[in-house]
Amino acid sequence: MTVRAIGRRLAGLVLTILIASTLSFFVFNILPGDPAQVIVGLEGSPDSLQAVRAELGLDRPLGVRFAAWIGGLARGDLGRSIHYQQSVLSLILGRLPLTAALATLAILIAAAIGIPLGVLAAARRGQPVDWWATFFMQLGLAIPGFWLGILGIMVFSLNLHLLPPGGYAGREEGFLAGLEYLILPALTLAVGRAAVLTRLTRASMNESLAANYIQAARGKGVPEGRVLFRHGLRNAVIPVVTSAGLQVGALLAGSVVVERVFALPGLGTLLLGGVSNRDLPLVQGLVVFFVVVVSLVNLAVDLSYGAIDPRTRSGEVGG
Amino acid sequence: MIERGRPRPGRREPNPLKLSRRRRTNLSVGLALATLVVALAVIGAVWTPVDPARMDMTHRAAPPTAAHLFGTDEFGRDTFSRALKGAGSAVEVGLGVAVIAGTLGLALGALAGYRGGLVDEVLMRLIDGLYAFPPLIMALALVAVLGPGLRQVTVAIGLAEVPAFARLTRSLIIGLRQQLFVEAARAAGATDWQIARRHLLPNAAPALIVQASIAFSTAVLAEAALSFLGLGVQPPSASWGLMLQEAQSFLTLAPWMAIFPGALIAATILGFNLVADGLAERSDPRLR
Repeated sequence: MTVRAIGRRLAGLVLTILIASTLSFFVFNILPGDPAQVIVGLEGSPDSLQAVRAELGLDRPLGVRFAAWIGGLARGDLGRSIHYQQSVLSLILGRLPLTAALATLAILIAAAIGIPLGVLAAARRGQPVDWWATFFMQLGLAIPGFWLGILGIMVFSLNLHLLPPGGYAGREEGFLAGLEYLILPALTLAVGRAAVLTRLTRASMNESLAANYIQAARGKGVPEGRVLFRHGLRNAVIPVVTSAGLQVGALLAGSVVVERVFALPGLGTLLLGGVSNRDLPLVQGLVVFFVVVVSLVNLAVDLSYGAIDPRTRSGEVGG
Repeated sequence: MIERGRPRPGRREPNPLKLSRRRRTNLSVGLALATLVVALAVIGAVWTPVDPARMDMTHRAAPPTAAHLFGTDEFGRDTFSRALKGAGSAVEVGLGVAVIAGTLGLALGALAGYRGGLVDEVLMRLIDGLYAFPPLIMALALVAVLGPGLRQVTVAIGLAEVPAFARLTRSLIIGLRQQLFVEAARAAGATDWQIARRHLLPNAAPALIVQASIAFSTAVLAEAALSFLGLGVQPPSASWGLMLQEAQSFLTLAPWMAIFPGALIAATILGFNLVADGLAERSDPRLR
């Protein structure tokens, strides 16, 4: 990939984040709802309301506030939470490790199930294995994470007493001891992603296995396992990898629900608290943070294209 | 930008007969489930076995019986009657979202795709900016501003689904715009509006209907999630997500409170996903 192409990707990233943060700013600042009123309460006097508005900078014109918000973003300042009286970024950084651990665990489980299952389904296309794989994929897509989490608590915590039903003690007991609290949530979060990965891998493998180089490999006597994984999957994995941005977005959204089910103090819980407390600056900062994460993953995917698919190495990536 | 999640054309199927029967089964099962859910919603709108809001303190958290098919909850309310009302909420949100996202997405996507040039550039930049938000996160943020409630949730999820519709419509229109029959119509003196109505829309319709079905199932899931989080449908109204939230405190005491609403959500999503898959494969022979 040329320097120019990388530059163009970076510019695209900045533009997307800029547009997304502009949209969030206007959604949170034009639509009704006064954060100052939330702090003061409905009984607060007009004077105290005015004082809080001044303290939050809400008495300034919209344009000035917008410039301050974008300027802050450029310096990595995501704003200040009303409820916690703290910078949004420091709140995020405090809760990020838990959500990151949860999402990483979930995507590892999902990939370990989804990719082999998709390969298997494509290799046995039209046979019972394919049918069962598709069946489980459809179920995985249909079952909501929070229901699955509740069922998991019912079976593994309340009946079998194998795993804790919720909460997180990793901060006190250390990460490894805390892992126990992440098993059920990560499994819950992984099921939907595993279904999506199965579907993507299966579709992509079906296409890849129909290619001439597969016939050629089989024809010269390459063992079937090697044909599937070295020749088939290597080519089929590209659409799976390029979906990473979507997967991370879905994991972040899913973690909001799963953290609620299992009472985990991560980013999702922070976002929910922000919504319930009508702490709009916190919600605004968090939402933009999520957009930045998803955009960075997309950028990383774009930049790693050459490594995954040697055919694109020579020049510009299409699209 | 990379096209995300777009299926690529595959080779012809070695054994088309066997698979096409399976596809038909998918579509039939999907249609059956979807019809069932809509029927439950319609029934729930006019009749429920018991008043869903009636509390019966003598039958609190009672297991399923003939009188209470799905058991009762912690207030002795009939879970089956509440599930019927919940079907109403789900279908209402699903339809509302399909209409909102469909109308706005169609308009934006068609405008961008048909006009091209600067209009396309600006609109797609905006859509890409919106697309960077994970849909449920965007819906959550909008609910934070709009406040909780069925109508607010419908608008929030509907807006969150607009980018997907707009991108799809745009790519369909761009593909169709270059077709010979469109050029022929233009050469014959048809106006933009006539071309859009007679040639572009009918050809784009199958894919848009598939997308509407996907939007419906996404909306049902999102409504359930938001209501589960306490931000959607508010008590005493009924929603499957809200019922699950209430159930979580009584898992050992009254597991049926959690099992039935969850199963209904899953059945609804499964149904509309299968309909979408079945229709997609029917309208696009390459997927067969």
